[in-house]
Amino acid sequence: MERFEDQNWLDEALTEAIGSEGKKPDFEKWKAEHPEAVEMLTSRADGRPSAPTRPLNIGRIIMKSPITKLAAAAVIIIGALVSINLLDKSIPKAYALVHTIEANHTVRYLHIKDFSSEHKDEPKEIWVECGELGQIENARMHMPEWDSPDDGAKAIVWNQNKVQVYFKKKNLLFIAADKTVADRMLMLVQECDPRLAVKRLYEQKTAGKVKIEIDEPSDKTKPIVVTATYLPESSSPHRRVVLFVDQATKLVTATEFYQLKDDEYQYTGVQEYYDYNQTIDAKMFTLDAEVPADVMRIDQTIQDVGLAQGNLSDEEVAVEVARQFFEALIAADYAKAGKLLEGIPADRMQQELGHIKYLRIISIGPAGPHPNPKTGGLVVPCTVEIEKDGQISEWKLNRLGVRQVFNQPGRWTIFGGI
Amino acid sequence: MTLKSEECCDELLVEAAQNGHLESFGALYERYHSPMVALAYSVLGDRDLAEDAAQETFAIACQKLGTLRHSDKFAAWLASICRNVARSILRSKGQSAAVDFQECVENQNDEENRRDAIREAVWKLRPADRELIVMRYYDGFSQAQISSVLDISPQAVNGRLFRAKRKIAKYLRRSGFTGEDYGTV
Repeated sequence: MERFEDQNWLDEALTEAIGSEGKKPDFEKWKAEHPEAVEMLTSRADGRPSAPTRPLNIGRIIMKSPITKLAAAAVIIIGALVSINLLDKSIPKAYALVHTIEANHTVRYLHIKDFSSEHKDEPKEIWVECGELGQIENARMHMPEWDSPDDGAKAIVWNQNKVQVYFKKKNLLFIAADKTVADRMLMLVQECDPRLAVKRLYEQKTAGKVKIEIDEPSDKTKPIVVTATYLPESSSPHRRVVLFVDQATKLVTATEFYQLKDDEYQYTGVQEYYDYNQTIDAKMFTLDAEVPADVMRIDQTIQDVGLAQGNLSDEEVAVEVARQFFEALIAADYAKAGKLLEGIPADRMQQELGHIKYLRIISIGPAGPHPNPKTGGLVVPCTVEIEKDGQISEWKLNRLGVRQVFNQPGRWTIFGGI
Repeated sequence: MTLKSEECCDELLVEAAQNGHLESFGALYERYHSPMVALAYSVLGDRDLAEDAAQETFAIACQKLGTLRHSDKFAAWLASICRNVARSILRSKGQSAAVDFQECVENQNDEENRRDAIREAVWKLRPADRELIVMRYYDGFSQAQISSVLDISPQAVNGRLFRAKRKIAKYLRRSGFTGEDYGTV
């Protein structure tokens, strides 16, 4: 592998290509060209210039004292003797992944930015607070719009089994206390957690599934570069990750990801890790205080959502939920319709759907598998006769999705496709 | 003023300037003029426009200095003004990207082509990395200067510089440029 640090030519090339022409700043000229700004600044003076006072050069003053000089000499001699005794013990050991695993035990707080190669300027951002044993206790995620164009940008906070999701574009706050949802969110966080990434690499290396190359520059200001190439027998044979490890702390500062394509490892993205162990304000881990007052709040932890399944099969209850939903709209019962649609409040339902008059259900069902299996739901095709702006027409819904309510087993709700 | 401005820390100069002491503001101008030109250049890709942006940045800073609460964050505050000024210049020019390198490749010698390829590689970086590279190579600013202007830790400066340079080197290799073009590898 080519040692990047040997490429000193690049410094020369960059200086030549973008180096300045050495123009010196000319404050007198600037003053002459900006009299108003100067006037505004000088008008703040209270009549006497408040020139900064020179800070005392404490070091120089102390070292002038003969007693201090003597003491300093003694310290140097003792220091030299001690360092001779410790010399063989202080030779640094070569870096190994296990050093980072050890360093990771000290991590309590972490801020991650996850950049994809297509969206270089809009990273996903994650803040993590860990417990004393290193387990994630609180997390916050900012998901940009490109990650899910339909939903728009989202702020998500995770705390044990509870999740709050704020959909900015829809001005909607969704709260659930279901383990499945919480686990899914936790998985998103764990995918970006450098501590787990290093641990997994170490395990894969031990199992002979990853080839690790370590480039430890002699210049201690430069990061250690760990290149992990997944071997054909591994679960991700075309993958390469490059870790950048701070030499002082042994913590990972960034991870670059590559995928083998056309016989070349092509860059796909980077995760950067900031603010290790800088305490994160507890306010970051709740959305209550920062969402707008007029946010639509769907709190599935405090209300029954959807319809109880009873003795119906999954397909039957899905159709029944859809039927009751449209019957509620025909009766202009927005409270019931909202309860069957994720628990949306009645006033919001009326605001969104009240401008349409629902006349009758033309056809409904049968239920079938949802085209996106990740939703865990069923699709119920429906056709409804509606009147809008005086015109009567048929409203066909081909992807009306119905699934179990997250934290309410045995209850089913419409979750999309309207 | 008896004090040599270059010895004085930002906080003291800022506080004095906030009290109307023009020479202190002058010292800050001398200290941060070049970094601001570099920062603006990373947005605009044009040295003359970058110079204009820096001048305007100090005009705004001079007028708004009283609103700066944390005097130790002067450099980062100045940089945020500079970015805004540069972006608005870019908008007023009707450009979404700083430089169009495709336009100027004809009638150039090898040396000019090489310099263009390097600039193109730099401008392919994401804006945050481009700022860092331009700050480093425009006038050889130190890690500490870059750290204070971009408000990131010195370790982050090192790490990100290193990675940005790797990306540039990779891009240049793909474009057929290597260290051999410079007589050193």
